[in-house]
Amino acid sequence: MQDLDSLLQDKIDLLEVGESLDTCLMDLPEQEANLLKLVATIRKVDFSAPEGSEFTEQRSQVLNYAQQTLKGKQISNGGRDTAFPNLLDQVRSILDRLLSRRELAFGAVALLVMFACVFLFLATAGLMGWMINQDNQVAEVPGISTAEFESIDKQPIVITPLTTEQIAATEAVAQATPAGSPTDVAVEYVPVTRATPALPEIDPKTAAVQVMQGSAQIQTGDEGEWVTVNQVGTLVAGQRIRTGKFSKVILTFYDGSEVHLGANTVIFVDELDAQPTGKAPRIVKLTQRLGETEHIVTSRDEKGARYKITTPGGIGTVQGTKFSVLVTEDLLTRFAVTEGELEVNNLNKAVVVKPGQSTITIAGQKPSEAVFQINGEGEVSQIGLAWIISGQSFQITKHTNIVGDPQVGDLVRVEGYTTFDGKNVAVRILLLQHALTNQFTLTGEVEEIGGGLWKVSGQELVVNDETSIEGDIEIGDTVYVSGVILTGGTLLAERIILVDETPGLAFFFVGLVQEIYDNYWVISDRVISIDGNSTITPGIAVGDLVVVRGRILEDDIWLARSITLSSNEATFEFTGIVQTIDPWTVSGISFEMRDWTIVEPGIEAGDLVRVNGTILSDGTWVATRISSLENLPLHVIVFVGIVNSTAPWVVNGLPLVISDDTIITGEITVGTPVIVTIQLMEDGTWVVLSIRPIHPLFGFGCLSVNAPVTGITGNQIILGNWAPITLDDDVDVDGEIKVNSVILFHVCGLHDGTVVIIQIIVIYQPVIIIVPPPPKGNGNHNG
Amino acid sequence: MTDISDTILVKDAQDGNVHAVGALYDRYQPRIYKYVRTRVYDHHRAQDLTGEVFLLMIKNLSSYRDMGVPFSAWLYRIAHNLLINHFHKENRAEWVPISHAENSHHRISNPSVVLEQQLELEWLLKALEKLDEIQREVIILRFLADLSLKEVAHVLNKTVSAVKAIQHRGLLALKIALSEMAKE
Repeated sequence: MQDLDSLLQDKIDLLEVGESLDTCLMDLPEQEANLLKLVATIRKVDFSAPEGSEFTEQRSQVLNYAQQTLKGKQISNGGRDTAFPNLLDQVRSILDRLLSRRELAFGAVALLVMFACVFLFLATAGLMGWMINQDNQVAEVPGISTAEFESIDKQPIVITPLTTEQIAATEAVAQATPAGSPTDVAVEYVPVTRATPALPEIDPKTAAVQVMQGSAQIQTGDEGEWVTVNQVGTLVAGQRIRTGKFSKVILTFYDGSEVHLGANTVIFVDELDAQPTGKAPRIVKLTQRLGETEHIVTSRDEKGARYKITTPGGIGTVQGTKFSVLVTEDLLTRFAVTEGELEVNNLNKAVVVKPGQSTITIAGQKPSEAVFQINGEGEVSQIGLAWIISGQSFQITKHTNIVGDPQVGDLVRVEGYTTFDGKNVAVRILLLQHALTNQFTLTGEVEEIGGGLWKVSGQELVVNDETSIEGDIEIGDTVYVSGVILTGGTLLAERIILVDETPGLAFFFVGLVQEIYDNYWVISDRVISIDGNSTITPGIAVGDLVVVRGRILEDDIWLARSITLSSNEATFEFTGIVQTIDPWTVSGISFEMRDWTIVEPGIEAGDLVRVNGTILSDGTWVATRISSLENLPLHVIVFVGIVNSTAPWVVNGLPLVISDDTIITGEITVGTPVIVTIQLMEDGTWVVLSIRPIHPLFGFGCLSVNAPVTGITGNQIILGNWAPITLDDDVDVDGEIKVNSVILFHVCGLHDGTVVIIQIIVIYQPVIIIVPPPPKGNGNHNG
Repeated sequence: MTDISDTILVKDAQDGNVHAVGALYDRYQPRIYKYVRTRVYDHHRAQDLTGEVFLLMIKNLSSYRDMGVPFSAWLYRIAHNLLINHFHKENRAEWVPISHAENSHHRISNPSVVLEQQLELEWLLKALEKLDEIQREVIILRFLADLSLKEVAHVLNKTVSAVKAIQHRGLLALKIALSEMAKE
């Protein structure tokens, strides 16, 4: 049907641009040809409007109302050129038009005479000036004399003012029209995104500050007040900057080097003279007290150049490189290098860190030898002293930073390193998303509401104290339910939302309050409009974490229905029209995608969708699921599960009855994660509509592993303690692999136990130089 | 006047130029009246509602921003919402009964021409009564009000693809309705 819709529309387009009907009918199926003929017939129907004279009086009323309503604007317009003559000409035009009509001319002339008499009387009585001042249109309109304006402004002789009833009726309509329409706009709403101001001019002794997400404050000296940065600012030596929750800030130096600050990060600028190449040596000295930074340092090799960062665990010095620094609250410091080299010094020990490597330092201890990094995102399948993430084992130490209390089944980001004896150690584990499997969604009609049991679309749903019920839901309402499928197939509702018909599209998210104004707030860089119907918990201030609920109106206006303090995890959900795909933008908001993001097939630009996601610690919005709301299916359950058996079909322990009409796509084997779509029948039985795989290459997750090549045999490469990797056509290799090459490879663990290598990148080829034995002495590199 | 774009007229009107408001009224009053008239039986009531559309336009003009949505679609949406509210208060739609259509002013200006046209129009309006509300609205906006798919999508707060599908189904339903009426 979709193709025929477009085909018919294409032909209608041709008809509208003047093609003959016969030409347009070519290649059309019979039914669509008949419909096109019908369109041509409808287009011939001449539905003429009444003659203009019937609307003359109304036109005058409209203009008079415009004059009353827009007069303030006219003053502010000043002398700007417009497409029209001035107000005097305009009213003259109206007068000419009206006076040309005989039935009005007599009365108009009579009233003009009356008006002239009144005018002369008032002028004589000295009240003229007083009256003019009462009407603030008069004195400030350029190009019109007071007398002229007075004659214009007192045109009620021909322009019938609106009656109170008419205006009241208009107001009532405006108020009664549901939110989301342009007729209910009581305050000026502000689009959800705002223009980014230009970066300030800087010099070698000044850094530009750009708040990309969240918030940042700058302090001058130890005793100075922390001052909030309003989107952009500058930073000089002696100042320090700190970022808030969900924040991301970029510092740009005069030589082009950049520092990206993550959330809850504190940086001191100790010295700053970022001279460009060819001038004087670049001097950038920073101290990182807490948090995470990424440094992109322009390459410099002149004598005396310094780019140095001091941490509780040591000092990092570079000439030109890409590296990151993490300082945790218990003063673990990790220097990790992406490009170039970094030298880390502490307690008279120097460690050179190369691409793909990192060094861990603890306050009061010497830095560890450089080790190879292993990072990635995947499913947790074991927790304890050793965690299994993405199918790989990671040791946990007392310094491992675990954020978000992840559990088995959840998706996490893991950052760690591989020891010389081949063990993986986790430095940080961050919760990304609770378990996707066993989750279901259902849109249907409420049939029963009980204490702990509801019935929706014939299905019994367990509702407990933790079930979030949003909206005043009654039997017969259409609701959207999300939850988990328990053992045995019991549906536990986690969230039940009333699907109402209020114009606009619903949204909610957890965010950080950055700015507060009368008619809008800035929350996590989203401009959220406020009106008289918005409910806001008293006492909320800048810096608070809040839950925002509301509706997305036209023009990407996000209007708050409620703003309350949050104690929830950082998640978001909103519905909207897909504006772009890759990168994704929905309802004016951009967000990131991951390998594990579930996107229902067939979604394209222009479609209505629901986006669920998680908010990372730096404020980045990552979508976990994008569902189509086009032709919203009723009485359909969608759930994600792991295939236990395909003959018969069992997913997550649920036996599924497959019919000839069931659509099964892709290569599905035992262990494959799949999306199952089920139609609920009136008798409560389930009919499986489709089973299709999600993330065919994702499985338990994927890791980026840095490792040196220790040997090459035929088409196999040996990487330390890893199983040999066979290079075949499925592996994308970037660079020439040699013994001792340091490579970065992406490995994904599938649910059937196999491991897939997707890509290998040669990071660098070490130059082996045979050097004579070092002279006697300690040989450290400090300095 | 017609060679001045809506964008310029709206900008001038937003800046307080009443003459620009007049130009917008002159440009859109016939089209808005036609749209309202397809839904409201009484000519005078349709005329009043048309006026209300323009009062609401002025009242909300400052909130209009040209962000890819044509002014015409914005104005039709005001009209659409006004009609919804009107019917909500009246609790019913006011369709043009065949028996009353001959009282229309069309017949006055040129009876010989209008008679044939009016017959088609009456026929069409009666057939439209048999369509779903949303299908009827799409057909009226697309082919009587001459709005583009995108404009209709904006007026009805739907996606372009949804309007395209509704248009297809609506035309099919209209054809069936016309065929059934021809048999009666």
